[in-house]
Amino acid sequence: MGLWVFLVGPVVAAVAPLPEFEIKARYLEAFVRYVEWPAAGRSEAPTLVVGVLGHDPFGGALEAVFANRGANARPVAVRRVASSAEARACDLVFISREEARRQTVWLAELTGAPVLTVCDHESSLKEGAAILLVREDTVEGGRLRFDVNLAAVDRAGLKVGSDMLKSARRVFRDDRKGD
Amino acid sequence: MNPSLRVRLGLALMSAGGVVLAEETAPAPAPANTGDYRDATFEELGGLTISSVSKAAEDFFRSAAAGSVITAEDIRRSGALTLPDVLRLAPGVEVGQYNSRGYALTVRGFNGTAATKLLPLVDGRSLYSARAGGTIWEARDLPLEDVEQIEVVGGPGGTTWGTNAMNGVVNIITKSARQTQGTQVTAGGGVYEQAFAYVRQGVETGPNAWLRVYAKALARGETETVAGAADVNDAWHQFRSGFRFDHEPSSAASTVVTGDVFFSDADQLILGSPGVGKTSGGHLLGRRELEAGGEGRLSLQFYYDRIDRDSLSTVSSADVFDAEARHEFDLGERQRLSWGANARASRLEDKVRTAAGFIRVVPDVRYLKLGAIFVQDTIHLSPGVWTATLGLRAEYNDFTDLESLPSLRVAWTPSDRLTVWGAYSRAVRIPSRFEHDQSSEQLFFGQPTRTIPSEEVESETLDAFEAGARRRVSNWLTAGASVYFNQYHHLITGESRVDATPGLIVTEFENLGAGRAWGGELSATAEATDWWRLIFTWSAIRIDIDSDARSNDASLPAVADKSPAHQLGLRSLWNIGKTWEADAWLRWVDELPDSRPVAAYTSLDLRLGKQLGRGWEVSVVARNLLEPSHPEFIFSGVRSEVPRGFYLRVDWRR
Repeated sequence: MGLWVFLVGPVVAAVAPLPEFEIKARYLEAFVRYVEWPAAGRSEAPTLVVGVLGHDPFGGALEAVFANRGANARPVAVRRVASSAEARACDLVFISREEARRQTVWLAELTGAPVLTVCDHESSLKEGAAILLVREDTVEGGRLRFDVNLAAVDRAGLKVGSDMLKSARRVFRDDRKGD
Repeated sequence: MNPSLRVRLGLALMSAGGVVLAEETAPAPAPANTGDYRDATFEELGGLTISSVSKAAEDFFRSAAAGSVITAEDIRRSGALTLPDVLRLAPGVEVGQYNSRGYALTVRGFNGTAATKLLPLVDGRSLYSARAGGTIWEARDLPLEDVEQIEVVGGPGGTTWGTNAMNGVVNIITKSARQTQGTQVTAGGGVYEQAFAYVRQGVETGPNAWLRVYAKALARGETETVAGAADVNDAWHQFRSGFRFDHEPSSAASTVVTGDVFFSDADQLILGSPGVGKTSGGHLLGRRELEAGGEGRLSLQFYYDRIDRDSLSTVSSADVFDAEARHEFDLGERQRLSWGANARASRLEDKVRTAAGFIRVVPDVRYLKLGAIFVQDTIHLSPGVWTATLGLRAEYNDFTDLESLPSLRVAWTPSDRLTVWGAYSRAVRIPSRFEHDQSSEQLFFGQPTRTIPSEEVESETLDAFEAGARRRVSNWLTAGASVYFNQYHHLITGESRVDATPGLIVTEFENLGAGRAWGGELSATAEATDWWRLIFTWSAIRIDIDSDARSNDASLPAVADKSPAHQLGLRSLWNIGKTWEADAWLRWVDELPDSRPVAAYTSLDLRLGKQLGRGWEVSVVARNLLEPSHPEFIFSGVRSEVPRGFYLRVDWRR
């Protein structure tokens, strides 16, 4: 009996820690709800486009997250894109830290486009990204937070809800030097 | 602080904190990708815990090599007190304890008391003995409390680590002194693991500079004597003390210095006569890492390592000086190039005690040198999806001159959930000093024997073909599998003949062996909740090695009988509430159908731990619970069995 308990352990499931990319996918879904795109231009289309530029760390998790949204949520299409030209046709673009080298050029080329750029490489904000997803290690475990670069948000002509800004780890008024 | 350091520090905090509880803040998502997170607020998202996969484990998930990572948490919860016992955690590692201190340990076959084809390293320092080939595990222990992680790599690592990294590499990385600030005192004892103690003090020695000093002692009782055989007489005592200093003034530069000294006394029987074998030694290592333009890194490392052994029959010492420079940088947008050079000088000394069987060893002092240059290019063929790594190492040694060790590895990573990889590498093992040029005379149970120099002996070579895959099946299940086909050439055989001098047996070494080994490893980790983890491992191997018709070495073909065809492991790590831990580890190891066979065995280890608060922790461990004792490996005339053991352990940290 004692042995059985040791080997099989408890059967009841509780909250499992999630892989980082899974939590990132959920953040992207939340950004879509809290960010306002300009009324003019292609975003009048009923469907928002979320793009993954270059390396895709999600492996299907992004589609799963957007497929499970509430009934009243605005429809979202997920795309894989390979260039900044294609990325301009999206409303939100995620660039993985795997692409740190190509990201510099991409972010420069996306400047001014009505695209919310979300990155997870630590030097992204000073390169002009709008949102940085950052891992914070605490005694309780790793958590995912985000920083906002308001200058980049303004350049893109987007509006970020105040609830979202309140939840950010840090909010910068201009592109950061250093960090 | 550089990102990798930040991750490492974070991991240390996580492992020190133990259980990760997410319920308080998380919006209770279901384990699968279904429902329940709709309209999650940022507060809820910020409260989700990232599954405790380390940066190193993450890199490993994506790497084009077989292997596994043993974390500090795995070590702590295994209940193992010595390094070889910890290595049983990784799939494919063959561990056969043959007396209280002695372990035959290898990966992917060719096990023996000198397992010549595995290269273990601690913080970049080789533990391999150039004298006999293989690793003297009793001299290579270290405080497990200071280990950050152990990477166990199946397959050749020669392009990176040099010759002798033939069947696999065990890469041990210790914690930075920064992660071990404060005081830790550990003491315990019981049956078989009679007594052990560990004391560590970490201090900040200046701005961005940290130091830890430690002392460790252990006493282990005798293993069980087999009925009818001679008393094993193998109680073991060890004392070790050392330090690690880390200076990290900026992300641009860092310095590490480590050192230790140890003394180990073991009761033994040499050809039937009891005595005490003494081993002592130590090391000093320094490494400086610098930023070298853009994303470039330059690493300079030096170490000195010494082991003295007095086994009654021989008195030997080995001094090793090793220096390495390595430069890593981006070459264009898609390539990362790493290149460098390594130089090593060794002094090996063997003196004999004629009273105990040995008559002489010639020459009694031998100087050896080794030099290598290496280059490795990682090419992102399609960024983040297809990666190819090409490597070449050219190594010079005194015995066989120039050796080349090429490798090609390709990884396909379509997402963070899947890696598929394949590799070809050529690996080399250079002859040990004992095999190459040592002339010795010995009385073996009254029989005069002589080993003559074999200066024509060549290196053993291996063509290794490997493939594998790792998959995150779901948020709570991760699995990995690897297969290999190893083709060996020029395996060294000991050729014996009766000399013209009546009654004298003369042995010399030739390269008359060849053959193949194939097999695979499988592991699966289920982390269904944050308080229960289940880990399954399986490995299988087939070995088909033969020596040439001209050879009379019967021991080489018998290596096939020294590896278990199958090994299974199942571990359960269970956190009960915030303070209790109940862990179980079940292992099954197949028989060794040697001429002196070892039966298959099943072992069960249990551990119960309790955090008492204020830095106090108590644990009770039972090892090899299912049988009073079982044999694991038979070395020469030693017949000993690993006994059941119990111990109580108390830890205090501040």
